[in-house]
Amino acid sequence: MGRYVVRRVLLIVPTLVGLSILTFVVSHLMPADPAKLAAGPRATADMVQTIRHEYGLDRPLSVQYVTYVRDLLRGNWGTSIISQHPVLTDLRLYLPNTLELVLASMTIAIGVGVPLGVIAAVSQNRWPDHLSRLFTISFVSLPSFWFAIILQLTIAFTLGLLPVDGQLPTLTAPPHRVTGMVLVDSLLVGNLPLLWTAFQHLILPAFVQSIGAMAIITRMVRGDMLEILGQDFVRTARAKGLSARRVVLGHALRNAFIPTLTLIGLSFGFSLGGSVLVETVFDWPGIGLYAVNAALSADFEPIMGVTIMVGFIFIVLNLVVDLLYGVLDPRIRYT
Amino acid sequence: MQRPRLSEHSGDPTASPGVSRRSFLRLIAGSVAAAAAPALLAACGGSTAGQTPASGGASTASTGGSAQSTQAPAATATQSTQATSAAATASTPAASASPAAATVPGQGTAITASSVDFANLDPAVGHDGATSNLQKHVYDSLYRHIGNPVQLVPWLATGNEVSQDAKQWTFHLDSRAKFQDGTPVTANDVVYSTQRLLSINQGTAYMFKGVLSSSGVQAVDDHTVKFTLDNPYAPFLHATTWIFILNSAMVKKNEQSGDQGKKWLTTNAAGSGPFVIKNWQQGTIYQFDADPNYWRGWPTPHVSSWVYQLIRESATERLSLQQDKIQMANWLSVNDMKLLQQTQGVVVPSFPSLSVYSIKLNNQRGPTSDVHVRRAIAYAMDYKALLDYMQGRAVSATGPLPPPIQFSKDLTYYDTDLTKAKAELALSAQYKDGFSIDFTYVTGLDEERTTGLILLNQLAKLNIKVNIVAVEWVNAVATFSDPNKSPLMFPIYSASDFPDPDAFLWSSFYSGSAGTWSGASWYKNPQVDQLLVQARSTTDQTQRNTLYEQAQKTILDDAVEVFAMVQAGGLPYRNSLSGSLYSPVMGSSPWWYDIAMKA
Repeated sequence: MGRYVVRRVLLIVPTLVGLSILTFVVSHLMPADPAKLAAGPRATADMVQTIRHEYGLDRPLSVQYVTYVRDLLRGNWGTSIISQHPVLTDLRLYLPNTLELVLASMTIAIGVGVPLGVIAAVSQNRWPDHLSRLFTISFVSLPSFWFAIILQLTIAFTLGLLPVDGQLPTLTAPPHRVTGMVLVDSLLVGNLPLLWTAFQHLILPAFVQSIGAMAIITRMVRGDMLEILGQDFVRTARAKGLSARRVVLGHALRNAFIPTLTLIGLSFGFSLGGSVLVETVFDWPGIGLYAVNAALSADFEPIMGVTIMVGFIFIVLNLVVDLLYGVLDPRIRYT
Repeated sequence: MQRPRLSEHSGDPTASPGVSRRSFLRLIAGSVAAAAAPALLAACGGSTAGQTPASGGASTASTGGSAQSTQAPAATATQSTQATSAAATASTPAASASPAAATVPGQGTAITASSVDFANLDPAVGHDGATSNLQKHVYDSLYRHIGNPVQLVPWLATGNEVSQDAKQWTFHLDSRAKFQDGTPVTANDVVYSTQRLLSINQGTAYMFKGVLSSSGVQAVDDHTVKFTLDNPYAPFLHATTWIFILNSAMVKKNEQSGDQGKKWLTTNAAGSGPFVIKNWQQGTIYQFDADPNYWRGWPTPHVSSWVYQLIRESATERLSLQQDKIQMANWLSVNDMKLLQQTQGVVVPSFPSLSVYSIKLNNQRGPTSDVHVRRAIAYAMDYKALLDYMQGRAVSATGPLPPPIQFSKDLTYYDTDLTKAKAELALSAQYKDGFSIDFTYVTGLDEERTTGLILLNQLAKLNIKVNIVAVEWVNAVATFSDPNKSPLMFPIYSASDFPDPDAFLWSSFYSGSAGTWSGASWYKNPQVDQLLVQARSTTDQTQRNTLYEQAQKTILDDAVEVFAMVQAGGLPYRNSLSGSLYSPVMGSSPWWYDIAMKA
């Protein structure tokens, strides 16, 4: 187990190097000129060249990459050519916001998706199953952008039940920054009214962000549960007189959950980079929005920073998921 | 074609409909603020007959053709005094034109929403529409553009003197001027700010290319600064509005590794403007409080705190404005602007702007390198169809200059006329039988795509097949610097950083500007070059007008671009706001200093 973990941790380094080379090359292959974009509409050629030189864009690609990696190892993640903000500062600012959103959305997705999948499986071809199918197909099909706006219009604007957008009301000061996640920081500083306000702001974006993963988890759990519920050991457990609840949750679900766990790990990773639509509609200043804006401006260093950071989280998540397999199924051994 | 009249729409449902442009400038050239008015020309130095630097210079020049005296404002400050007077007689709020000692306390917090975050508050770096919207409130400049119609008024300066050859400009600073930390604004700060801008060579530095070198700005004494230009530059007074004056001591104190304070100034201010940064939440909100100690005082009622809130979805912005959760909205979609016109309590203004919408034609390659093809396209364009699409938010263009500063009544422009289009195309030896051509536009911009569809329909009648190609803005920009890659047809809004013909014509049609965004047509005509150089070199406004008229005629005759329309300006706002709610320059946003809010 220990050797396995060490080996997997060591593998993170070449994986990130490969990822960084790929991203670096692809982003520089774009027929874009970020220096010209940053310089503005009437900038003369020498002004564009000044910016190009300042950011080292006039050097060979290999030199640029080596310089980038060298700076990265020194803790310098580069600077945005458009905003001139340090990338690390931006990542520290925006990543916690997205993490908060994704954690909340995955909590909803798992909290609703797993029970719903179980209920659908044990009620196969009866109305709860049909209802769950309708629900999941609808949620998978709904464009999240459109759904978000509809929820804003109805729940926020028309009914006034929840805030329209943002993490806090416009003129409310955020809590003292500890983790960068407003909800968590409100809790840490013991400001319960602020915690409640932040929670209300989180509900709609987290729900919209969750629906895709929720629907897939539901279907995955249902399918795997049906398969497991038909196996001999479940029949044996029932024959031994175990309660239906214990058979389903204690035996069947535990076995059926391994593929779902993989899915949850992947969904979490995808959500980190794919939250841009929800972040746009709900004005949630997260990493997805930051990444898209950087890509639209061919702003190389933020693109690299986001890729490496999200890539790292993704790899770590996968490692955690792999290790959890062994917890769920003792037959799995790591060597 | 009859030019539609611009009007102000209120919540009256009977008001004529209107639409807003999609946010082209949002993504890009926000820097190009726009607009001006004929009155402005009267107010700006070097721009108006009878109030030209020449007249000022003539009255002051004593030796070497320069105006030197700093002791006799009645005589020597002729130009600036007249400019101020002209401003004061126009509709500009009194607070701006004439500093008063009285201070009225501020009231209320107003929220202005925008879908566009801004990049960098540093006046030597950040220069786009969103950034300018904020910079102008925390920084002062020697002169300032305010109001609508725009006026050029002395601000940190009390006046100026200009030599007859428009090369030496001397400014006298207002002795009351203080930075937000209470230290006085001195000539050394002006010198530092100017030299820093030129040294960093970004942002608005382009305005001074070939005009001003670092050694050309000197402090004569604590309150007098002198600019000696490398070449005569008649609109220099306008350009000074873009030299925001920094507190040099504060910037030096915050330098990191000799960066001239660049890192620090990204999100901090070292200015003397009327608003101070109160709250800075990157990517979320930026709050600015009225500085109660502002050196010019607060002679009129005003909002005590402004919040710049990011709302990235146009529909959310619109709904927030309708529910009075915000008081002003920026970068709204066409449909949302239209919907707002039906909303009680919301005003949707529609003012003449300086934003000219044209289709850049590549003059160097492909079919559009043939003047007959370009003329054919200009005649074939259905201008009315485009104006119909804009639903009252635009008027037809009459040439390279927008109506507010178009002084010439003697220009012949292209109306939609397919007969003439066919006749022109027939004159092209190579392309008379038709051809295929790309119309390139930026992904997601509706007006541009609509323009392409109009051309596709019209040019098909000339046996010209139009392929509409959508590209990302960043990729489009990369092609402009090479005439062999620059698009053959590319629609774009072009405006100006200040309301003078030079700002428009030089940046688009002077051969040295080819390859910039605004010079994407790659037009090179030595005759036009000569006219433009002459026009910026003389302070005789009559002569300048003559030269600019000749230049415009040549540009139109060459059909360099298709000048399709001129956009209407003005942000929708709640009627609880009043005051100077539109100014077509510096981001085309309101001037907070003069805006009051009812409780």
